[in-house]
Amino acid sequence: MIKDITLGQYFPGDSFLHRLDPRMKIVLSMLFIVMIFLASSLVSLLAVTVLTFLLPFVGKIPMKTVFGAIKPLRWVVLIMMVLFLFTGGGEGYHILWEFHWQFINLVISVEGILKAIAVSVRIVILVVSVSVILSYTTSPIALADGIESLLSPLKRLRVPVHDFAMMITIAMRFIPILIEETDKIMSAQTARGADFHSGSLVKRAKALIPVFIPLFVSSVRHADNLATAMECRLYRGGNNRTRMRSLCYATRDLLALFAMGLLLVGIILLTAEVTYGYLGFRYV
Amino acid sequence: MTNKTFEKTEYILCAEHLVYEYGIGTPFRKKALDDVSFGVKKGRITGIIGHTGSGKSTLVQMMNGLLKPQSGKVYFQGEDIHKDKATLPALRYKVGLVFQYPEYQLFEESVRRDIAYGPSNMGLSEEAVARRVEEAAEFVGLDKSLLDKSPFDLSGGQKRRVAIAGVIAMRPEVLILDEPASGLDPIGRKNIFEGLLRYRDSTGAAVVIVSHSMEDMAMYAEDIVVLSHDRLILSGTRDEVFSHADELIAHSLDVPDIARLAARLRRAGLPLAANLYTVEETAKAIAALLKGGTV
Repeated sequence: MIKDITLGQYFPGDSFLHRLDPRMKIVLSMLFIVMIFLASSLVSLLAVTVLTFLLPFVGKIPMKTVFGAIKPLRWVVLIMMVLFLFTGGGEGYHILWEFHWQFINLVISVEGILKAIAVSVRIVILVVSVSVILSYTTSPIALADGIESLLSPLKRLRVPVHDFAMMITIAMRFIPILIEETDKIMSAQTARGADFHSGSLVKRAKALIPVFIPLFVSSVRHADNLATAMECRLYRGGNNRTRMRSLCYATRDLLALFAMGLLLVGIILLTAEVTYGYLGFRYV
Repeated sequence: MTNKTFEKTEYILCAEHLVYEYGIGTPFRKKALDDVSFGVKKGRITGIIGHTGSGKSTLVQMMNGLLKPQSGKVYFQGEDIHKDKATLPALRYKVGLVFQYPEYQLFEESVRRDIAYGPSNMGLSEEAVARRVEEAAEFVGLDKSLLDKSPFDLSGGQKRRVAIAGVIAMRPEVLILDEPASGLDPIGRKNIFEGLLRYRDSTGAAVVIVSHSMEDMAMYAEDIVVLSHDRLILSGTRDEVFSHADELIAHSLDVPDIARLAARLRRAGLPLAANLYTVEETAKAIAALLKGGTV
């Protein structure tokens, strides 16, 4: 049932990626995204793709799980592919097929095909790399801590960073609880003869009322209880608060940053070489 | 006793070799039930007892087809409930299931309409539904004046009884309740259990109560099924099960306090019968001994 949906996607483990500081992982995934967009030649894109699919081995994430993350993208990729495939017009392009009628100009060219493939590959490796570096290997709580710490310079500008991070943490903490509750309420109403899967759209929407009202009531109850509990422990925002697990960088974080830097420089050099160097093949 | 073969016709509802695992194919894989078989008899109160996480709640959700066992079968009146998917909704009216903390499922604007939800889903006429609502409210001991209130204005114990009435109103032949009395005060508990007894006595339905309280089991259950760590370890009549005190204690389940007191009195030389598990029975037995002048 609903329980099978993996929200938050955290995949517990003890790999190198799991042990990295969450702040470092946020920075690394940003650098990785930059790298993906800098890899503007086919050869360097290929290199980045290979690197991306090495990441799951570093994080000890099963390939099956990684492909699970790509699967929902298939429609986006397909639409992008079709879009780029038929708009392949451009100066000096090798045109394979053309169709012009009133405002419609459809052109398929060698460069267009390459572009279509490149765009699709980029979307896929973007999702895979961020999933593996961040979502799969970082618990939601650690992620929120990392975001708070990275945004803390904004506190000087009176941005309520702590409150913001607390809200994210609480929201994420309650996702599994509310999913479980929805599942329970749906089962309970099914036991009383509710039918969520057949009938007209209106009928099905109406069938959800006995689920949403109790769910809403219980969300308010949870919020109320949590607020009381926080007040009982004298919670009053982020000032002077210390943490149970304070974030601190280790050697491996520096190592990871160094490796990332090397890769980034390598990809830039490779792209420059391929684009302006002797191979002379350019597609973007 | 644990692995007896079943004569399916003897039981109105029975389970054979049920196996269920959560999260297959994820790192959170966990076995909930392993080869569990037992049966429920008409007109009797069956207790299912076990610690938190022993698979009780999973088990009851299989009895009305909400969960499908990965292997094993559930039979209602001798018929495999998963044989024809189309019969499952009808089965859920015959095997009524009350979840844990059922008061969290109330949603209607009045108690009357909330109790009516189940029977109206059955497609009964308005008069029939109204009759069943009043009847169900009577079974659980809800005052008529409460029927037109909002369920959200009631006390915890009253809400619980409204939710149970919502299932009783479907007039199930087997009524299964997951921890029906948890979190209630002693009077609230008594109200709930007496309502269940009333329902059983006047309809002859089978009632299944899931609980982790040995005291409640000793008071109300006639047959008992004991689960421990995803397995069934004992099943039989109350006296049969409680006579295996060592096994219960080995699974840290214990016998009722009063049974332990009776055992100590027996050891001290009092000729008390062996099957005393409730305060009332024990008190009567001791009073009889005192009157008889044997002490």
